[in-house]
Amino acid sequence: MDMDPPNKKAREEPPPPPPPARQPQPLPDEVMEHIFARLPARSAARCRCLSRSWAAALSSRGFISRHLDAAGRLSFPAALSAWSREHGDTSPLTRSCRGLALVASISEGVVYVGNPSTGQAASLPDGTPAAFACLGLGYDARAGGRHKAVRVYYQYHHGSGCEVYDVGGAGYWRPAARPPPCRVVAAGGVFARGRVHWLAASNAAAASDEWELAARLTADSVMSFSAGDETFTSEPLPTGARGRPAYLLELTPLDGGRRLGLVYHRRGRRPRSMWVLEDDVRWVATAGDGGTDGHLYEESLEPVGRPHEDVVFASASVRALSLALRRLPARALGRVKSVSRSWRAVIDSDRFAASHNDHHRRRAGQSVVVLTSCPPYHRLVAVQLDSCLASDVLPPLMSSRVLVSKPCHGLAMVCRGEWGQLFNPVTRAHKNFFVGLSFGFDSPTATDFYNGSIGLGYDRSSRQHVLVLLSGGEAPPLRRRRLQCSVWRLREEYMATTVAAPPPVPAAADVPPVYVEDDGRIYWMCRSPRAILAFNIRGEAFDVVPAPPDPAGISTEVLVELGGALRVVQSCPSTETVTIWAAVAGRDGEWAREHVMQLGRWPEFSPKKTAGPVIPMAVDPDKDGGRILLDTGRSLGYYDPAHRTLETVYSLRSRPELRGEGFFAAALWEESLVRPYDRFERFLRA
Amino acid sequence: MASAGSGDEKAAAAAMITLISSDNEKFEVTEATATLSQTIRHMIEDGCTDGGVPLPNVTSKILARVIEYCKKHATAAAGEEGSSSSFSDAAFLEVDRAFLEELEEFDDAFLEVDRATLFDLILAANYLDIKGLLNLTCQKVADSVKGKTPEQIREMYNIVNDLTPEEEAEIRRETQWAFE
Repeated sequence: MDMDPPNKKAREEPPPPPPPARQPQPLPDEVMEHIFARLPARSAARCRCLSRSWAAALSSRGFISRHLDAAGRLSFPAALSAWSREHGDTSPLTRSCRGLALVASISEGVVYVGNPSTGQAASLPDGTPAAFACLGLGYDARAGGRHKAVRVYYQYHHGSGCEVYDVGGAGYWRPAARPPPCRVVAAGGVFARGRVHWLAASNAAAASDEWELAARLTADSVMSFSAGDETFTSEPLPTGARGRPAYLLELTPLDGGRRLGLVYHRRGRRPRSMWVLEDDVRWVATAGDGGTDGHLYEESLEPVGRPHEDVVFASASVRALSLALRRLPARALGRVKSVSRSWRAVIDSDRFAASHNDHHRRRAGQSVVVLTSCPPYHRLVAVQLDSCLASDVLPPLMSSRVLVSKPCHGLAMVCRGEWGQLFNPVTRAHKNFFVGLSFGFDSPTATDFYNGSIGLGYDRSSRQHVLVLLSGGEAPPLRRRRLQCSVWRLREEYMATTVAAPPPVPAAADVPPVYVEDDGRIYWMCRSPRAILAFNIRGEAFDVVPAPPDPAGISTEVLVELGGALRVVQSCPSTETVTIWAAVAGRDGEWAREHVMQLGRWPEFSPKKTAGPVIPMAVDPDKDGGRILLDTGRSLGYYDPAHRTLETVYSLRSRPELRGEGFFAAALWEESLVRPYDRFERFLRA
Repeated sequence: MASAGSGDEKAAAAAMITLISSDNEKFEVTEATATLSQTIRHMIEDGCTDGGVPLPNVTSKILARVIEYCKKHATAAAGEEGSSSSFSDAAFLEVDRAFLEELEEFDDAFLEVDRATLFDLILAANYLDIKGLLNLTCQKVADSVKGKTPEQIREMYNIVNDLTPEEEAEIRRETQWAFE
């Protein structure tokens, strides 16, 4: 050993570094790993930053598995609740299954697979539309182990089915080999002994296609889905629990999922009964207070995979294909959805729908659809104008004039009475929403029913549609109410509103507001004082713009969007004139007459004769000077401002049998696969 | 322009851009060719093309094809500018027409590639933001799909039908609107 006498040298030289013997011996990697495996999931995950090799070791399946098994820790899901706060209104659908759980965001109607201890979550696709569906999460221990989400569903007229989503797999649901043999009567599946278990009613399997309410109320068996071979089995409940109301029965995993327990919560204060399923076939009654695992979650590093759209678009060829496919019209895409599961997943995705609509919206040439109200339920049905012209059959008409908004990022809106509907005219998907808001029933007429006005816009920063509700407007004058503004970002919350600052002036309730994409504002007409109210969606703030002059004060005024900018349209019945005003560029608050249309020569378009205003819908960009498409609810026609001529395109006037009754609603057709935030309704629909 | 002739040529010769493919192959192209790509145009404008432009998403095989397209269309663009600004007689219009026809022929021949190359070209055109090339390649794929039955598309693109008959029936129910 090469050791110097310490005293002598110390004076001349800086003190030597502490001898290596005083540093703790580095622990062997195996020991370190044992220590890491005892850390909470988030702490263990942080240790992945130590080095490249530790990152790999601590992400390996082997370590994740050992970490989960190390202590069998259960904890209150702190990370889950943090994640829930971000996502507003989530609710757990399943108990924990080897570190993961299914969680639903009620507002979005989206199901996530989440790891409560790391706070990671990845969205699942919708799955087959069904009248009723219940989910479970299982774990297939074979081949390294994989989580599988299982969805059992019932469709009216088509019976029951089962589909499986592989966590970390292909990004879409695939059907299980066989449909479920029983009907599930309590939604959340419980994972124990390698199977997902639901309370079920086996006798209902042979029942009619209609969902029987009675079948949901009592349970007589446990239906189990093996996460490994994906087969179903069914086991009768113990006699003490059979036929009991399903809401009093509860399946529960015991001993960390090694056994399945059944609890019967008796009514009143009587003690609960409990059974344990032994050897998968025999129920054994146990002490009623046996500890269940409750709603605690395991500490786990189990990865949740990527959100389903990321998985689908991960492949380069899918990304290339989607760039090409978005050029096709929506109908053509609907027809090629059945090429393969991957094609269906692409065409069904929100990401593709947005990109498809963007591509087509930027190109001019919108066509017109005629909306009619069809029985049953008087739902709106859009028919292409061309097919209306081609067919002699008259579509069913509406009893009053209905104004439809222009398509806004693939969706249009219509308000009828206290109900509003957001719909896609191409796919006919729709979402109904209640706009009654209980602001009074003073007037039975449709437009001022709730004494407010609702506008549809689009929030470009968060890429979602927005409904803006103004209420407490001017009419009826007897009871003036406080002005209110509610902003509903459609993806964020279901049936919930956030309230922005109230509008400075009341909006006219009977004139539909207009969204102008280029400046991200929704505009309302106001009558007292006469002005135009503008709402900036991004900043959630109002400003007031002066209205163009109306010297006679007898015109009906509406707002429209033409050629990407706001226009004010004045219809004067006494002079049979429709005037379109455009804002003067660069001069705030100044308006100039863009078109003055003398319509007396065409009675079906004259404001004197029409019910409600004459609406200029669009400017035909193909023609010189730009022909203007006029809509009166009974006639559609192109007005040519250069030659002052009017060409009728479609008219109910030529149908003598109608004798002036009935209206259609005309809307512009925009290529669109965009879904009207109808996931929640779709889930409940047949 | 005040300076003419040799001065312009010199400027053009100096304005060369080096593109580096994902497999580290270097391609020297003129600025006029490179700026058909909006992505590269912005990089030139921001002055960050010294030492070459790395394109980690594009392989040398695809980049060579993309450059071939850009060269051809850059000449076309230059030709159009020249003719419209200084000449307008019939002879030059005739030349223009011939040139456009030649360009169309070039485009048609350019698209004679296998599916994998075509998809790679789409992704490269999208990444480099070359509108003409993206339109050309995407339209080719879109046209090949349009009006075809799912069965024909599967055959054309070698896609295995992994849908069960029940799933196909479900899709048909869901997309009833597309078949009316």
